[in-house]
Formats: sequence, structure tokens, C-alpha cells
Amino acid sequence: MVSEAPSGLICAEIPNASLFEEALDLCARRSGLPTDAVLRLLDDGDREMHSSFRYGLAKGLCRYLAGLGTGFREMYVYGSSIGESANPTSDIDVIIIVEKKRDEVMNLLRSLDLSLTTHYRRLVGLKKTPASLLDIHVIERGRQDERTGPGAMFDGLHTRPICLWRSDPGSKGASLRGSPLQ
Amino acid sequence: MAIQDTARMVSERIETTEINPYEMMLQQLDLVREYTDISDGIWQILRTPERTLEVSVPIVRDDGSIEVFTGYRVQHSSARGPCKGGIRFHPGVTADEVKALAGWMTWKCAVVNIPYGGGKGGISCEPSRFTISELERLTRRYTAMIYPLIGARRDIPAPDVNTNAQIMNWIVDTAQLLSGESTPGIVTGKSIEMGGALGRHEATGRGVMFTTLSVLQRLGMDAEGASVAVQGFGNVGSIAARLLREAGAKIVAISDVSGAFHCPTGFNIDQVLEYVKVSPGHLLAGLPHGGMEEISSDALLTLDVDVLIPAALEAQITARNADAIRARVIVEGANGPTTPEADLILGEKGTVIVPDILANAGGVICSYFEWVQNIQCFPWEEEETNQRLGKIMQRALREVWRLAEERQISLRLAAFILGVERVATAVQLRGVFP
Repeated sequence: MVSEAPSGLICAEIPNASLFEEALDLCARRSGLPTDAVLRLLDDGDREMHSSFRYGLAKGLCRYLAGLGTGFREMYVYGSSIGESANPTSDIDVIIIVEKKRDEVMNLLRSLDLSLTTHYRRLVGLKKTPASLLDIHVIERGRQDERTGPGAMFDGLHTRPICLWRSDPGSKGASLRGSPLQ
Repeated sequence: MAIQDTARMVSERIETTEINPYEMMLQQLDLVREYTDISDGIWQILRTPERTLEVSVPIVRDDGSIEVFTGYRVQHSSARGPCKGGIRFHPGVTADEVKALAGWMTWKCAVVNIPYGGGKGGISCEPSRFTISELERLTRRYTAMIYPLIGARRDIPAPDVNTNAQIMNWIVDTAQLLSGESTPGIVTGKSIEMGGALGRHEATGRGVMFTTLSVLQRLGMDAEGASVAVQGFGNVGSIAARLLREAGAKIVAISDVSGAFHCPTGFNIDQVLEYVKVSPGHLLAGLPHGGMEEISSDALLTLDVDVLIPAALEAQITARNADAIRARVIVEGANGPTTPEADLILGEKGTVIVPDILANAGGVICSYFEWVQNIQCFPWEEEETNQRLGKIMQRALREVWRLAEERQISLRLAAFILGVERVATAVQLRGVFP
């Protein structure tokens, strides 16, 4: 993009490459295969590999959001990313618990989704890719107990989300230390 | 397999991947939609440019060879008036970038409530490769190619990245030769002698000054003695600094590419301006000024000041430094100085950010004044331009502020909502032809 992009066109700073590297390494560790073999299986649409890859990306996303040190409180993943049923067009189902559902939070998450989706399309050389890689539900802290909307999934037998990250109680958020932003 | 191999494989596949700016514009628009009740049909209209023209621009180089470039002119919306937007010459220009920027101009003109729609144009080229005569031929041929679309009552270009008043003068002249009529209002940002507006040079910086003073007033802060740090001492930053100093503020830090400087007792901006008139490259390096120390560019951003004005490049305030920023108010003189992550962190801290779409709108407002003067054949005194600019900027800030308070949202989102809703209303009122 040409310089002098206005605020509506400023990208998120998400370190796509390191998130993808971490996700691929997770796939390699889980499968015992070298990374080039993992990439080939992703290219071929292998479901198990796509699930692992999405789970790895979700974990990386957690670290990234935690590193922002703001009102992100908990992050959960559910759906095909935690089974073996993801395909190349599957999205990553995520629930994020925030202190307050501010417009800056929503703007950032949209920007992250666009960035990750764009790079995923390029990484996995497939014609059929999801229109949006992340399917994020944002819930304000305290409201997940209401068990309505996305919160209802916390009670589901088959879709119960897995908690990937939770900030320390009472803290302002996680520190930047060890985050992909550094 | 080594981690380095994974990194290599990933970088081979995604290194050159860029986010499509048009998708980003649509994403921003979709965020706005969550806060409005605009109908599906109107939304579809807003998401799509009215016209996209791609042109081939051949020129004869000075050595006699012929080279062909690709140019664009996009009209995103004319619902509120003729399309308005700059022309940029840059190798990175693409159809999607021009479409995105045209859309952004639509919202920008609507936020400050001037009777324009949004447009943008450009040529994918490296202008530094051209001699002046080649640049003139390129400009004139491009003008001829987009001529069916532009006009004082249709679509009005202006300077943008790597284009200037001289290029606008060539566009006016070419259009006049093609039409046989005097058409100064076909572009803005012309030389004064060609119908340019007095005050245009200062307009963006002056707009930043008006916005800053209005925000301070709204926050109950006294402009007299308010400490201000200005990043970037070009056309916008230096003028905003001078005018804020005249309004009583204390400019405690300034910077440009040659360095950043801190003077806790406040810079004598007139003295600094005199220096950069004659300094090598018109840069601040070597500035002789009492009580001043050189600091890092990062340190300038995190000074304990009332107001920070980033007026240099995009993406200066990021996740890395946002938490350390101590300014109570940030006025975005530059385009896109704050990343989405930084926006989030600063919002959490309660920092007031006046977004670029509002803060640096002084330029396009003055373009509007130039156009009004051209079509009326009645030039104004500079004082009139400045007074009217102040009224429009203050009104726009008041409206955005009110919306942000009513809906408990950021000024950035409020500005986008205000702009988008105004365009949506105009589209709704016009109806769909036939």
C-alpha cells in the first residue's frame, strides 16, 4: 500500500509470519512430520492437519491479544479447530471475553481477521478458502454467565469451548513480555 | 526440521502478501454498520464505487522511446455533490487502493459537511524517474484520458502523493484546451496565479490548530500554556505549531527526519521557522535554540504533555509505544498515525484521539473554498478563508463529539458514523434511478 494511508486503511500490526510459524511447528510436533510435509498436507486439505493448524493459530492469537495488556480477559476456542474435522474453508470459532465491548476492540478484531485471512489464503495455496478465517464472538465480562447467545455454548455438551488463555484475576491484563509483538 | 526452515517456508509464501486496501475500507464500513440502521440496499450502494475508470497512459520519453503506464480515476459517490479527491503518482498505486481512498474521501467530505462526494485517481509510476517535460506529458495524457469523467460539477481532482500545484496547473490547461472553455474549477490546489486559494498552503495545519483548541476547550483545559509536542515539522506540523503558539500554547517538542528536540520552556516557533528556511534540506538539525536538548523520536511521543500532534508518517503510535504515551489529547495531523492496536490501548487509558478524518480535513475544506471561488469567479481575501475554515472545523468537531458522547464510542468511530450516515441519507433521498 502506498504511504499516507488514512486511519480507516491502517492494518493491524499482527505478526502473521510468526503466528503461522508457530502453528506449523505445532502441527509438526503433533504429527511428527517435517514442516514441508505439514504444508503439503494443508495444501491437500487434510482435515486433521487443518484442525491442528487452526488450534495453533488460535493459541498464537491468544498470546498476541494478551500482549496488548488491555481489557482482554479470556479466550476460548471451539468447533472444528479442537477436533479433526476442519477443512480448508473452515473458520476458527473463538469466544473472547473482554472487560468492555468497545468499538476499538471490535475494530482491531476485524482488522486481525482480514490480515490473518489474507495471509492464510497465500500460505495455503488452495482456491477454496474461507471468506473470513476468524469467527469471533465477543462477550463482556460477567455476561458469559447469562448463557445466552454465544454464552450458551459454555453449556453445550458437544461444542463446549476450551479455554486457551485467562488473564490473572484483578490484573489490568497480561504483560507484553514474551508476546509476538516483541 | 529446524525452526529456521519453517520461517523460510512461511516467508516464501506470504512475504509479499499485502492487505487489500479496498477490503480494509469495506471492513471499516462494516464496523460502522453495526452502529447504524442503514438498510441492506443502501449499504450495498455505499460499498460499491459509482465508477471505476482504468486508463492506459502512453508517453514519449525524452530519448524518443514510448512507455505505457496505467492510470485510474474512481468516483466512489456523488450522492452529496461532485466527487472530490487527489491524484497520486506512485509505483504502488492499484485499482483497489484508489477505490479505497475514493471511499475514504466520501466519508471525509461528509464528516465536515461540505457538498462533495468522494473520488481518487492515480498513475502507477515512479515520478522521480521522469524529467519535468516527461512529467508534464504524463500529466496531460492522463488528463485527456480521464477527461470524460472530471469537471467542476462532476469530479474535481487535487494534489496528493507526489503531485503538486504545477501538476494541477497542467491539468487545468489541458482541460481548457480540450473544452475550449476556461475551467479553473476542474481541479483545486492550483497555483494562486491560476486560481488557487489564498490560505491553501496553511489550511491543513490551521485546521489542526482549530481542532486542538476546540478539544482543549471541551475538556476544560486552557490553551494558554498548554504543552504541545509536534511530530513532523513539514507543512502541517510547522504551521499547526506556529498557530498554536500564537494562541498561547507552549510548543515543548518538535521533530522531523533529522531529529527530535525538547525545550521544556517552549520553542520560539518563529525563530525555528526562520532557521528551517535556510537550513540544509530545510531540516531542524543544527537548530540553535536556548534551553533545548535533542531527544529520540520515540521520546517525543511519550513526553508528558497536554497535546501530542503526530503530523509526520502513518503508524507512528503502535502497540510498542502506546502504553507509554502520556499526552491527554492526540490530534492526528498526519494520515493514519495510530494503528488499531494503539487505538485500543489508548482508548483503555482514556486518551482523547481526534482522528485524522476530522483533524486534517482543513486541506479539503480549503479546496472546497477554492472551487467555490473558481465557479463564482470571485476570489476571497485570505482572512475570509481562515474564518470560514474555523467555523466548519469547529462545527464538525462539535457534531462528532456529540455523537461520540451520545453513543459512548470513540471520536474515530463517531466521525465515520457521521460521515457514512450523511451519505446514506443522501442516497436514500435521491432514490435509485430509474
